[in-house]
Amino acid sequence: MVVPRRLVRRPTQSARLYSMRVTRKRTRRARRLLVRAARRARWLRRQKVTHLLAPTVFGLERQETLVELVQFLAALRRVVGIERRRARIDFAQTRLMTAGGTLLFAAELARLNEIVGAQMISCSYPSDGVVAQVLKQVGIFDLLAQRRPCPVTADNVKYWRVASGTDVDTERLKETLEYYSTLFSDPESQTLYKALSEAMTNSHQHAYKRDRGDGLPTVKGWWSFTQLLDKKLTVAFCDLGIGIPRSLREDLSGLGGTIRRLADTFQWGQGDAGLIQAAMEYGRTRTGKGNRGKGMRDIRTVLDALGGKLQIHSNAGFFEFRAQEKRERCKTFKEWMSIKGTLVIWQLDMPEAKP
Amino acid sequence: MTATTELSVARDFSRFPAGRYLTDGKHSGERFRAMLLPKLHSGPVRVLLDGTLGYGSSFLEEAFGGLVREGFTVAQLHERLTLASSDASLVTEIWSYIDDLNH
Repeated sequence: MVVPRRLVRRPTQSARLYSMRVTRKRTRRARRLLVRAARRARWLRRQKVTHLLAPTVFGLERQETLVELVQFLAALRRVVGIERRRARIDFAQTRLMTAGGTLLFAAELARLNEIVGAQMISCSYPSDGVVAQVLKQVGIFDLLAQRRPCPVTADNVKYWRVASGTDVDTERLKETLEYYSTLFSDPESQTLYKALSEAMTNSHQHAYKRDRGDGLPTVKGWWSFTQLLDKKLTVAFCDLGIGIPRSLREDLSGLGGTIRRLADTFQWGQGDAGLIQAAMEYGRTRTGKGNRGKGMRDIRTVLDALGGKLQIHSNAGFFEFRAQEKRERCKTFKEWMSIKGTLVIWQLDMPEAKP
Repeated sequence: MTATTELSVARDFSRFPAGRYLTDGKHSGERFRAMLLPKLHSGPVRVLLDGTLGYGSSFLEEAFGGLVREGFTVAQLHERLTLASSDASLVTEIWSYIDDLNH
Protein backbone atom coordinates (compact mmCIF):
# COMPACT_ATOMS: atom_id res chain seq x y z
CA MET A 1 0.00 0.00 0.00
CA VAL A 2 1.32 3.36 -0.93
CA VAL A 3 1.09 5.98 1.79
CA PRO A 4 0.16 9.28 0.38
CA ARG A 5 2.99 11.74 0.68
CA ARG A 6 0.90 14.26 2.55
CA LEU A 7 0.35 11.80 5.39
CA VAL A 8 4.16 11.46 6.26
CA ARG A 9 4.87 13.98 9.03
CA ARG A 10 8.01 15.90 8.44
CA PRO A 11 9.69 17.49 11.47
CA THR A 12 9.07 21.11 11.85
CA GLN A 13 11.89 23.61 11.91
CA SER A 14 11.55 24.11 15.68
CA ALA A 15 11.61 20.33 16.36
CA ARG A 16 14.81 20.04 14.30
CA LEU A 17 16.42 22.84 16.27
CA TYR A 18 15.32 21.27 19.54
CA SER A 19 16.83 17.92 18.55
CA MET A 20 20.11 19.59 17.57
CA ARG A 21 20.24 21.40 20.89
CA VAL A 22 19.69 18.15 22.81
CA THR A 23 22.39 16.35 20.82
CA ARG A 24 24.84 19.20 21.33
CA LYS A 25 24.05 19.24 25.05
CA ARG A 26 24.64 15.48 25.31
CA THR A 27 27.93 15.76 23.43
CA ARG A 28 29.10 18.57 25.68
CA ARG A 29 28.16 16.55 28.77
CA ALA A 30 30.00 13.46 27.47
CA ARG A 31 33.06 15.61 26.74
CA ARG A 32 32.90 17.11 30.21
CA LEU A 33 32.73 13.64 31.74
CA LEU A 34 35.72 12.53 29.68
CA VAL A 35 37.75 15.54 30.78
CA ARG A 36 36.76 14.92 34.38
CA ALA A 37 37.72 11.22 34.12
CA ALA A 38 41.07 12.14 32.58
CA ARG A 39 41.67 14.67 35.35
CA ARG A 40 40.81 12.08 38.00
CA ALA A 41 43.10 9.53 36.34
CA ARG A 42 45.94 12.07 36.41
CA TRP A 43 45.20 12.79 40.11
CA LEU A 44 45.13 9.09 40.90
CA ARG A 45 48.44 8.60 39.07
CA ARG A 46 49.91 11.37 41.21
CA GLN A 47 48.33 9.80 44.29
CA LYS A 48 49.66 6.35 43.46
CA VAL A 49 49.94 4.36 46.64
CA THR A 50 53.42 3.24 47.58
CA HIS A 51 53.54 -0.12 49.28
CA LEU A 52 55.99 -0.39 52.14
CA LEU A 53 56.83 -3.72 53.68
CA ALA A 54 56.92 -3.47 57.47
CA PRO A 55 59.89 -5.03 59.31
CA THR A 56 59.72 -8.62 60.51
CA VAL A 57 60.58 -7.46 64.01
CA PHE A 58 59.82 -3.99 65.42
CA GLY A 59 62.76 -3.96 67.78
CA LEU A 60 65.89 -1.99 68.60
CA GLU A 61 67.85 -4.43 70.71
CA ARG A 62 69.75 -6.16 67.90
CA GLN A 63 71.57 -4.40 65.11
CA GLU A 64 69.78 -6.23 62.29
CA THR A 65 66.31 -5.38 63.65
CA LEU A 66 67.38 -1.79 64.35
CA VAL A 67 68.59 -1.42 60.73
CA GLU A 68 65.37 -2.87 59.35
CA LEU A 69 63.20 -0.57 61.49
CA VAL A 70 65.24 2.59 60.91
CA GLN A 71 65.21 2.03 57.11
CA PHE A 72 61.48 1.39 57.14
CA LEU A 73 60.78 4.58 59.13
CA ALA A 74 63.08 6.62 56.85
CA ALA A 75 61.18 5.29 53.78
CA LEU A 76 57.86 6.17 55.40
CA ARG A 77 59.05 9.72 56.15
CA ARG A 78 60.36 10.16 52.63
CA VAL A 79 57.25 8.85 50.83
CA VAL A 80 54.60 10.49 52.99
CA GLY A 81 56.37 13.47 54.56
CA ILE A 82 58.68 14.68 51.79
CA GLU A 83 57.11 13.38 48.54
CA ARG A 84 53.57 13.72 49.91
CA ARG A 85 52.44 10.42 48.38
CA ARG A 86 50.08 7.93 49.93
CA ALA A 87 51.58 4.85 51.53
CA ARG A 88 50.17 1.46 52.39
CA ILE A 89 52.03 -0.52 55.02
CA ASP A 90 52.12 -4.25 54.54
CA PHE A 91 52.42 -6.18 57.81
CA ALA A 92 52.46 -9.61 56.12
CA GLN A 93 55.95 -10.48 57.39
CA THR A 94 55.73 -8.87 60.83
CA ARG A 95 56.04 -11.43 63.61
CA LEU A 96 57.19 -9.54 66.71
CA MET A 97 56.58 -6.06 68.11
CA THR A 98 58.67 -5.03 71.12
CA ALA A 99 57.81 -2.09 73.36
CA GLY A 100 60.58 0.21 72.14
CA GLY A 101 60.22 -0.48 68.42
CA THR A 102 56.43 -0.23 68.52
CA LEU A 103 56.50 3.02 70.48
CA LEU A 104 58.96 4.58 68.04
CA PHE A 105 56.75 3.51 65.11
CA ALA A 106 53.59 4.87 66.78
CA ALA A 107 55.33 8.19 67.48
CA GLU A 108 56.52 8.50 63.86
CA LEU A 109 53.01 7.75 62.57
CA ALA A 110 51.41 10.31 64.89
CA ARG A 111 53.96 12.92 63.80
CA LEU A 112 53.42 12.22 60.08
CA ASN A 113 49.64 12.38 60.53
CA GLU A 114 50.12 15.75 62.20
CA ILE A 115 52.25 17.02 59.30
CA VAL A 116 50.39 15.68 56.24
CA GLY A 117 46.96 14.97 57.69
CA ALA A 118 45.26 11.65 58.32
CA GLN A 119 44.31 9.20 55.53
CA MET A 120 47.69 9.41 53.79
CA ILE A 121 48.88 6.17 55.37
CA SER A 122 46.88 2.96 55.41
CA CYS A 123 47.77 -0.63 56.11
CA SER A 124 46.96 -4.21 55.28
CA TYR A 125 45.62 -6.40 58.06
CA PRO A 126 48.53 -8.33 59.63
CA SER A 127 48.69 -12.06 59.09
CA ASP A 128 49.91 -12.59 62.66
CA GLY A 129 47.05 -12.37 65.15
CA VAL A 130 49.13 -11.08 68.07
CA VAL A 131 50.72 -8.39 65.89
CA ALA A 132 47.20 -7.25 64.92
CA GLN A 133 46.23 -7.09 68.59
CA VAL A 134 49.32 -5.00 69.45
CA LEU A 135 48.52 -2.56 66.64
CA LYS A 136 44.94 -2.31 67.85
CA GLN A 137 45.80 -1.95 71.54
CA VAL A 138 48.38 0.80 71.12
CA GLY A 139 46.22 2.83 68.75
CA ILE A 140 48.22 2.26 65.54
CA PHE A 141 45.17 0.85 63.76
CA ASP A 142 43.35 4.11 64.54
CA LEU A 143 46.25 6.13 63.12
CA LEU A 144 46.16 3.99 59.97
CA ALA A 145 42.35 4.06 59.64
CA GLN A 146 42.19 0.26 59.89
CA ARG A 147 38.59 -0.39 60.92
CA ARG A 148 38.48 -4.19 60.88
CA PRO A 149 37.35 -5.46 64.30
CA CYS A 150 40.16 -6.96 66.34
CA PRO A 151 39.40 -8.14 69.86
CA VAL A 152 42.44 -7.83 72.12
CA THR A 153 42.66 -10.99 74.20
CA ALA A 154 46.36 -11.92 74.42
CA ASP A 155 47.74 -11.54 77.95
CA ASN A 156 50.96 -9.97 76.77
CA VAL A 157 49.02 -7.33 74.83
CA LYS A 158 45.88 -6.40 76.73
CA TYR A 159 47.72 -4.75 79.65
CA TRP A 160 49.52 -2.20 77.50
CA ARG A 161 48.60 1.36 78.47
CA VAL A 162 49.26 4.17 76.02
CA ALA A 163 49.60 7.93 76.59
CA SER A 164 50.91 10.90 74.67
CA GLY A 165 51.09 14.66 75.06
CA THR A 166 53.01 17.82 74.29
CA ASP A 167 53.57 19.50 77.67
CA VAL A 168 54.97 18.19 80.93
CA ASP A 169 51.59 16.87 81.94
CA THR A 170 51.74 13.73 84.06
CA GLU A 171 47.97 13.89 84.41
CA ARG A 172 47.86 12.25 80.99
CA LEU A 173 49.37 9.20 82.66
CA LYS A 174 46.78 9.43 85.44
CA GLU A 175 45.15 6.08 84.73
CA THR A 176 48.49 4.26 84.59
CA LEU A 177 50.05 6.01 87.59
CA GLU A 178 46.99 5.60 89.78
CA TYR A 179 46.76 1.95 88.82
CA TYR A 180 50.39 1.33 89.75
CA SER A 181 50.10 3.35 92.94
CA THR A 182 47.51 0.83 94.10
CA LEU A 183 50.00 -1.99 93.50
CA PHE A 184 53.20 -0.47 94.84
CA SER A 185 53.98 1.12 98.17
CA ASP A 186 54.14 4.92 98.15
CA PRO A 187 57.93 5.38 97.91
CA GLU A 188 58.12 2.89 95.04
CA SER A 189 55.30 4.36 92.97
CA GLN A 190 56.64 7.86 93.71
CA THR A 191 60.07 6.89 92.38
CA LEU A 192 58.43 5.79 89.14
CA TYR A 193 56.50 9.05 89.00
CA LYS A 194 59.74 10.94 89.50
CA ALA A 195 61.48 9.11 86.67
CA LEU A 196 58.60 9.66 84.26
CA SER A 197 58.06 13.31 85.11
CA GLU A 198 61.78 14.03 84.68
CA ALA A 199 61.90 12.19 81.34
CA MET A 200 58.98 14.37 80.27
CA THR A 201 60.61 17.58 81.55
CA ASN A 202 63.92 16.75 79.85
CA SER A 203 62.13 16.06 76.60
CA HIS A 204 60.11 19.29 76.78
CA GLN A 205 63.08 21.49 77.65
CA HIS A 206 65.77 20.03 75.41
CA ALA A 207 64.43 17.78 72.65
CA TYR A 208 62.76 20.34 70.42
CA LYS A 209 65.05 23.33 70.66
CA ARG A 210 66.24 22.66 67.06
CA ASP A 211 64.93 20.88 63.97
CA ARG A 212 65.15 17.13 63.99
CA GLY A 213 67.10 17.31 60.75
CA ASP A 214 64.96 15.01 58.62
CA GLY A 215 63.57 17.71 56.33
CA LEU A 216 60.16 17.76 58.03
CA PRO A 217 58.66 20.38 60.33
CA THR A 218 59.03 20.01 64.08
CA VAL A 219 56.09 18.45 65.88
CA LYS A 220 56.53 18.66 69.64
CA GLY A 221 55.36 15.68 71.60
CA TRP A 222 56.05 12.65 73.73
CA TRP A 223 54.62 9.16 73.64
CA SER A 224 54.57 6.49 76.32
CA PHE A 225 53.69 2.81 76.81
CA THR A 226 53.48 0.94 80.08
CA GLN A 227 52.85 -2.71 80.73
CA LEU A 228 52.75 -4.92 83.78
CA LEU A 229 53.33 -8.57 83.01
CA ASP A 230 54.88 -11.50 84.86
CA LYS A 231 55.98 -9.30 87.78
CA LYS A 232 57.84 -7.01 85.39
CA LEU A 233 56.81 -3.45 84.78
CA THR A 234 57.89 -2.02 81.43
CA VAL A 235 57.70 1.72 80.90
CA ALA A 236 58.74 3.19 77.56
CA PHE A 237 58.97 6.90 76.88
CA CYS A 238 59.84 8.46 73.55
CA ASP A 239 60.32 11.80 71.83
CA LEU A 240 61.27 12.63 68.24
CA GLY A 241 63.60 15.51 69.00
CA ILE A 242 67.27 16.20 68.51
CA GLY A 243 68.42 13.49 70.92
CA ILE A 244 70.55 13.61 74.09
CA PRO A 245 73.95 13.58 72.29
CA ARG A 246 73.13 16.54 70.05
CA SER A 247 71.49 18.45 72.89
CA LEU A 248 74.54 17.85 75.09
CA ARG A 249 76.96 18.91 72.35
CA GLU A 250 75.00 22.15 71.87
CA ASP A 251 74.81 22.82 75.60
CA LEU A 252 78.46 22.04 76.22
CA SER A 253 79.73 25.59 76.15
CA GLY A 254 77.05 26.73 78.59
CA LEU A 255 77.54 23.96 81.11
CA GLY A 256 81.15 24.58 82.00
CA GLY A 257 84.05 22.43 83.02
CA THR A 258 82.39 19.51 84.84
CA ILE A 259 80.56 18.24 81.79
CA ARG A 260 83.62 18.79 79.60
CA ARG A 261 85.71 16.61 81.87
CA LEU A 262 82.98 13.95 81.99
CA ALA A 263 82.50 14.04 78.25
CA ASP A 264 86.25 13.54 77.86
CA THR A 265 86.11 10.63 80.28
CA PHE A 266 83.29 9.03 78.30
CA GLN A 267 85.04 9.44 74.98
CA TRP A 268 83.62 12.77 73.94
CA GLY A 269 83.62 12.93 70.19
CA GLN A 270 83.82 9.15 69.96
CA GLY A 271 80.10 8.68 69.59
CA ASP A 272 76.57 9.12 70.81
CA ALA A 273 76.71 6.33 73.42
CA GLY A 274 79.58 8.07 75.22
CA LEU A 275 77.55 11.25 75.36
CA ILE A 276 74.48 9.51 76.79
CA GLN A 277 76.73 7.97 79.43
CA ALA A 278 78.25 11.38 80.13
CA ALA A 279 74.76 12.86 80.55
CA MET A 280 73.80 10.09 82.98
CA GLU A 281 77.00 10.50 84.98
CA TYR A 282 76.62 14.28 84.95
CA GLY A 283 73.17 14.03 86.49
CA ARG A 284 74.30 11.44 89.04
CA THR A 285 77.31 13.36 90.28
CA ARG A 286 75.74 16.81 90.26
CA THR A 287 74.38 16.98 93.75
CA GLY A 288 75.05 20.52 94.72
CA LYS A 289 76.26 22.51 91.80
CA GLY A 290 73.43 24.68 90.63
CA ASN A 291 69.93 23.96 89.56
CA ARG A 292 70.25 21.85 86.40
CA GLY A 293 71.13 18.32 85.38
CA LYS A 294 69.23 16.36 88.00
CA GLY A 295 66.64 14.88 85.65
CA MET A 296 68.92 12.23 84.21
CA ARG A 297 69.77 11.14 87.76
CA ASP A 298 66.08 10.58 88.55
CA ILE A 299 65.67 8.53 85.39
CA ARG A 300 68.27 6.14 86.76
CA THR A 301 67.47 6.32 90.50
CA VAL A 302 64.22 4.42 90.00
CA LEU A 303 66.35 1.29 89.46
CA ASP A 304 67.91 1.64 92.92
CA ALA A 305 64.43 1.47 94.43
CA LEU A 306 62.85 -1.18 92.23
CA GLY A 307 65.69 -3.09 90.48
CA GLY A 308 65.64 -4.12 86.84
CA LYS A 309 67.22 -2.49 83.82
CA LEU A 310 67.27 0.83 82.03
CA GLN A 311 67.85 1.22 78.31
CA ILE A 312 68.31 4.54 76.55
CA HIS A 313 68.41 4.79 72.78
CA SER A 314 69.21 8.29 71.62
CA ASN A 315 70.14 9.02 68.01
CA ALA A 316 72.86 6.46 67.17
CA GLY A 317 73.74 5.75 70.80
CA PHE A 318 72.59 2.97 73.11
CA PHE A 319 73.11 2.85 76.87
CA GLU A 320 72.01 0.07 79.20
CA PHE A 321 72.26 -0.24 82.96
CA ARG A 322 71.36 -3.40 84.86
CA ALA A 323 70.73 -2.73 88.53
CA GLN A 324 71.36 -6.24 89.85
CA GLU A 325 74.78 -6.67 88.23
CA LYS A 326 75.49 -2.90 88.46
CA ARG A 327 76.68 -3.21 84.89
CA GLU A 328 76.63 -0.58 82.18
CA ARG A 329 76.79 -1.32 78.46
CA CYS A 330 77.19 1.21 75.67
CA LYS A 331 77.18 0.99 71.92
CA THR A 332 77.32 3.59 69.19
CA PHE A 333 75.82 2.52 65.88
CA LYS A 334 76.61 4.10 62.54
CA GLU A 335 75.16 7.57 62.02
CA TRP A 336 72.64 6.38 59.42
CA MET A 337 71.21 3.95 61.99
CA SER A 338 70.14 6.88 64.21
CA ILE A 339 66.57 6.61 65.55
CA LYS A 340 66.41 10.44 65.38
CA GLY A 341 65.03 10.93 68.82
CA THR A 342 65.20 9.47 72.31
CA LEU A 343 63.64 6.34 73.68
CA VAL A 344 63.92 5.45 77.37
CA ILE A 345 62.82 2.00 78.50
CA TRP A 346 62.63 0.94 82.13
CA GLN A 347 62.11 -2.72 82.87
CA LEU A 348 61.45 -2.84 86.57
CA ASP A 349 61.04 -5.78 88.90
CA MET A 350 57.64 -5.52 90.45
CA PRO A 351 57.84 -5.33 94.23
CA GLU A 352 55.63 -7.35 96.48
CA ALA A 353 52.03 -6.22 96.29
CA LYS A 354 50.72 -3.84 98.93
CA PRO A 355 49.51 -5.65 102.04
CA MET B 1 53.08 36.75 116.03
CA THR B 2 51.64 35.91 112.57
CA ALA B 3 49.69 32.66 112.27
CA THR B 4 51.14 29.89 110.11
CA THR B 5 49.47 29.46 106.73
CA GLU B 6 48.99 25.90 105.54
CA LEU B 7 49.39 25.02 101.89
CA SER B 8 48.72 21.53 100.62
CA VAL B 9 50.28 20.75 97.25
CA ALA B 10 47.74 18.05 96.44
CA ARG B 11 44.69 20.01 97.60
CA ASP B 12 45.59 23.57 96.64
CA PHE B 13 47.76 22.99 93.59
CA SER B 14 47.77 19.58 91.88
CA ARG B 15 48.12 15.86 92.51
CA PHE B 16 50.39 15.79 89.43
CA PRO B 17 53.18 18.31 90.09
CA ALA B 18 55.71 18.15 87.25
CA GLY B 19 57.99 20.35 85.19
CA ARG B 20 60.24 23.25 86.03
CA TYR B 21 59.16 26.41 84.20
CA LEU B 22 55.75 27.90 83.42
CA THR B 23 56.30 26.92 79.78
CA ASP B 24 56.65 23.25 80.77
CA GLY B 25 53.04 22.89 81.80
CA LYS B 26 50.26 23.86 84.13
CA HIS B 27 51.61 22.00 87.18
CA SER B 28 55.18 23.35 87.07
CA GLY B 29 57.48 24.27 89.96
CA GLU B 30 57.60 27.91 88.89
CA ARG B 31 53.80 28.09 89.05
CA PHE B 32 53.73 26.54 92.50
CA ARG B 33 56.41 28.99 93.65
CA ALA B 34 54.26 31.88 92.40
CA MET B 35 51.52 30.56 94.67
CA LEU B 36 53.85 30.10 97.64
CA LEU B 37 55.74 33.42 97.44
CA PRO B 38 53.02 35.87 98.58
CA LYS B 39 52.16 33.56 101.48
CA LEU B 40 55.82 33.42 102.55
CA HIS B 41 56.13 37.19 102.34
CA SER B 42 53.26 37.59 104.74
CA GLY B 43 54.38 35.04 107.32
CA PRO B 44 55.36 31.46 108.12
CA VAL B 45 54.06 28.72 105.82
CA ARG B 46 53.66 24.99 106.37
CA VAL B 47 53.67 23.06 103.08
CA LEU B 48 51.96 19.67 103.13
CA LEU B 49 53.63 17.43 100.59
CA ASP B 50 51.56 14.25 100.94
CA GLY B 51 48.73 13.31 98.62
CA THR B 52 50.41 13.79 95.25
CA LEU B 53 51.51 10.96 93.00
CA GLY B 54 55.13 12.03 93.45
CA TYR B 55 57.61 14.82 92.69
CA GLY B 56 60.30 15.27 90.08
CA SER B 57 63.58 16.96 91.02
CA SER B 58 63.01 19.76 88.50
CA PHE B 59 59.71 20.66 90.14
CA LEU B 60 61.16 20.63 93.65
CA GLU B 61 64.29 22.56 92.75
CA GLU B 62 62.37 25.28 90.95
CA ALA B 63 59.55 25.50 93.51
CA PHE B 64 61.74 25.61 96.63
CA GLY B 65 65.31 26.29 95.47
CA GLY B 66 63.81 29.05 93.34
CA LEU B 67 62.76 30.88 96.51
CA VAL B 68 66.43 31.72 97.12
CA ARG B 69 66.73 33.04 93.57
CA GLU B 70 63.65 35.18 94.30
CA GLY B 71 65.50 36.95 97.11
CA PHE B 72 64.92 34.92 100.29
CA THR B 73 67.99 33.98 102.25
CA VAL B 74 68.46 30.38 103.33
CA ALA B 75 68.20 31.46 106.97
CA GLN B 76 64.90 33.23 106.32
CA LEU B 77 63.51 30.11 104.69
CA HIS B 78 64.58 27.90 107.58
CA GLU B 79 62.74 30.30 109.82
CA ARG B 80 59.52 30.67 107.83
CA LEU B 81 59.10 27.45 105.87
CA THR B 82 58.01 24.13 107.32
CA LEU B 83 57.76 21.05 105.12
CA ALA B 84 55.52 18.19 106.20
CA SER B 85 55.64 14.77 104.60
CA SER B 86 55.40 11.14 105.63
CA ASP B 87 58.50 10.61 103.49
CA ALA B 88 61.43 12.15 105.39
CA SER B 89 63.79 11.76 102.41
CA LEU B 90 61.58 14.11 100.40
CA VAL B 91 61.93 16.85 103.02
CA THR B 92 65.71 16.29 103.14
CA GLU B 93 65.89 16.49 99.35
CA ILE B 94 64.03 19.82 99.28
CA TRP B 95 66.21 21.35 101.99
CA SER B 96 69.29 20.19 100.11
CA TYR B 97 68.15 22.19 97.06
CA ILE B 98 67.69 25.25 99.27
CA ASP B 99 70.88 24.82 101.27
CA ASP B 100 72.98 24.18 98.14
CA LEU B 101 72.18 27.67 96.96
CA ASN B 102 73.76 29.12 100.08
CA HIS B 103 77.22 28.31 98.71
